[in-house]
Amino acid sequence: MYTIHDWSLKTNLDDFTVGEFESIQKIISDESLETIEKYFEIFEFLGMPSSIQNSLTDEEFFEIIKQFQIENNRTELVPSIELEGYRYLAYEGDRFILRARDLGLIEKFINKENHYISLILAVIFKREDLTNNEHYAPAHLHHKAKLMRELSMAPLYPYIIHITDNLNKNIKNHIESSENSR
Amino acid sequence: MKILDRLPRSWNDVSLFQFEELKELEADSNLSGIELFCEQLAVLLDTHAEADEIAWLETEEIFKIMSNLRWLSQEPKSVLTEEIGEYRWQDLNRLKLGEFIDIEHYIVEGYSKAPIIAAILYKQVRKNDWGNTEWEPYEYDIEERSQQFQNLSISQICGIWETYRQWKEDFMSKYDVLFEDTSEEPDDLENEELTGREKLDQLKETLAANARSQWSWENVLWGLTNGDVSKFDAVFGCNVILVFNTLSMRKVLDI
Repeated sequence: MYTIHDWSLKTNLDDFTVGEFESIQKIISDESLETIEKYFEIFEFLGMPSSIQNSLTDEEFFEIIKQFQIENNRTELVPSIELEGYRYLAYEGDRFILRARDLGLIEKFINKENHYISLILAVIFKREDLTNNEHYAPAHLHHKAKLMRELSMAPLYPYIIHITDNLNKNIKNHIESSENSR
Repeated sequence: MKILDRLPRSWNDVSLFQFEELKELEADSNLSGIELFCEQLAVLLDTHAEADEIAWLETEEIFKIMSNLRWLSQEPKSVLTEEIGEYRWQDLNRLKLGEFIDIEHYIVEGYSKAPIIAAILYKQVRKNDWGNTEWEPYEYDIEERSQQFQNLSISQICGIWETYRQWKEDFMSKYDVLFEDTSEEPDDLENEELTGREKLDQLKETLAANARSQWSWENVLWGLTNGDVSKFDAVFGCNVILVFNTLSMRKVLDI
């Protein structure tokens, strides 16, 4: 936490819910906003009172930006989570596997949905008592994503990194093999 | 058997039905890239995209298959075969009006009609008593003849499509005057300066123009034969260039 004028700014991922993290990501990727505007939007979203916003000096504002580095030290994937009395599994056996059907949905959510982080998590965490058809039903995924938004982002963040790295690696290999075959 | 071993290795191994399905998938903008690829795999494997063997492939496997199917993201080679069996590709400038109308009718139905289009465009030839090449008249059953062209490769089909498309584009550009859109939407009748009677007359004219457009070929034939139905066959047998030249002349001279 970083405190200024009696107001505290969250700087640790443990303090953010999935929904908050998602909203911040949305502001960061909003191309209609300039960089400084994005920070003001984020600080306002995180509850900075307008009285503080209006009274900040240049130095104070840049110091807040400098302090606003969301920290996260976790890298381990959690095999399962508990949500409203149900157990949701991300692991198959002893490892996490991203399958074609999941990948197709994730790609679609990233391109078309505002709440794509919670939807990605909804895809990879499968309620253990449901069939595949029930799991992939759009209404179920959106309902689960809504519940996911209330969870802490920190333990789930490694999945976002893992999926991003995995996709980057595969896409890079695919492009390289395409170029080598020319 | 592994998925990779059951997949085609090039466009030459893809059937016409699969090609048509793949083209339809490409036009579906609701699919994400991976979803599209899974659907393409399903077509090539003749199964369902949600079948276990596709939906449950791991990321690495999907990308490995994708690398092996690079040819899928490229258009097939377009090869125009001059002779198929005893049939020879005819110069498109020799097309008869009847052939042109039939091609235009079938081509909008897509690649599945390729054998019929080939049946129209490929003809038998012989030397006549004067030693000149004589082309088979367009008097055969094209459905029956199309059986001779069921095994066209995708490259051959693309060759026919592309050659015809280029010829038609060039041909039609010479006759722009014939294809000026004169149809009007009833919305144009919202002009408040017109009286009720004038609006009614304009509506009648619009509906008549739209009806003429709906029956365009029949209307053209009617004009060329002065309404003599017994002469329709003769006009069908005229060279399409001659017919369009005549129509242009009539339009320009308003006769």
